[in-house]
Amino acid sequence: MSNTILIVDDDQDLLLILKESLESSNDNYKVLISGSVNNALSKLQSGSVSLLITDLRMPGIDGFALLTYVSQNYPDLPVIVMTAYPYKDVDRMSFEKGAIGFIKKPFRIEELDALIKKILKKQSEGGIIHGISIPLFLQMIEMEQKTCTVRILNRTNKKKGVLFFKNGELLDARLNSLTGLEAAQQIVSWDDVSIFIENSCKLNKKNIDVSLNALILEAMRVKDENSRPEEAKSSELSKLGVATPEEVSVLTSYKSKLKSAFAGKWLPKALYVDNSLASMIKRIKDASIHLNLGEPKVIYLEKKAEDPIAIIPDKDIVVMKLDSACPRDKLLRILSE
Amino acid sequence: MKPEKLKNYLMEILNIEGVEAIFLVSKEGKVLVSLTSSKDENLNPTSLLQLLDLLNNIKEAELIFEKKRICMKSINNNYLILIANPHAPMATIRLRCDTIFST
Repeated sequence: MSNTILIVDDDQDLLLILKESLESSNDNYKVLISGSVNNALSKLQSGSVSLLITDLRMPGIDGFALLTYVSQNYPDLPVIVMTAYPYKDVDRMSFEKGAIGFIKKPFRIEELDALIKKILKKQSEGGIIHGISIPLFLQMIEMEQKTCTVRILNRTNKKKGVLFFKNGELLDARLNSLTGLEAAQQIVSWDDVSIFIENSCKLNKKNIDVSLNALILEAMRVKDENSRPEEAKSSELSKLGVATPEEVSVLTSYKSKLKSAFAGKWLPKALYVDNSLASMIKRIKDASIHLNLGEPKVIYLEKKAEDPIAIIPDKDIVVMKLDSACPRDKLLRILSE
Repeated sequence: MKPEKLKNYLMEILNIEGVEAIFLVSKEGKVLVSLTSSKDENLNPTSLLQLLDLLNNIKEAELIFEKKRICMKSINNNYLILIANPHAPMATIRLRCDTIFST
């Protein structure tokens, strides 16, 4: 996961040096800089920040106020304080206000870099999981009564959400500026995700009152609602279909249709014509007449120890071999339109 | 799972919007549970068995037709067959089925 680091300091030269040094030595760092707390707050709202580094003494709102704000509104966000503050105990005061790292100016870039790495590593100390369904993962957390902070990266739209658990109970969630149930429902409805587990949770207050099962069911309902055909989408797809020249093979047309529908982010593992399935399709068609189901449009099949496939009983029978990242409902909807 | 409890769970699924019928059929073709909210007499489990016969060894299948959608899921030695309209909330239904049959 690429990490976005926000550095706040009124010393513009220092900001530029830190940005350049950290980004050039770490490919997966994106460094945002802010010359004031006000400016930093607007950047925090984007929801993409993984780590905040702040000076304490700044004109206007100071770093202590920022620390307090962050610990109340972004409790999962780690903060490093960097300061030349001359007073004794400033490190202790910073930790009391929620900082988890402290570095005294002047410092060497390598020291700061090492501290950043140590803190970011902690965010996935409990493991990183790819390709698991969020509802299943949440049920595991509940069963094992885990206390953890779970950061979830939506690999399709790159959004990041956070879920807070205490003894298996979901306390709160955060997604950009959304919190509580609304944020949790959106996060739980995501499909293609990477999950990063931190084995601690700073929160104690419960901000989500519904049970995990009710939350999951509601999230699935919202997901189904969103995946229903929209007029705009279907008209776009039909235009694409019309635009496909007749002489272009049926496979190319399906491939381009999928590329367009999934914005190039997902394609089947394999796409081929298999007319040997004609007798099976004929029997399904016969059964559909008897059952008054109408014409078959698409068939999804999952057999033991085999990749699932989608069959489109067109003039040529098109078969798509699918993988675990396949957005099944969306694919079937597109193919049945 | 006790038959009464199972029937109650399946009733819950039947009550999801868009679900018209739900059947539990053994792999030998014996109808174990038959619940329907549709008046369509064609939707009886016996007439669906010919589809099951076609799709042997399936773990899960979803057949989308112009008018209906049929989902089949292999559970132990049985098949769960669900008939719904084409716009039924499938993610919700699948999750409910997974929850019931994983317990």
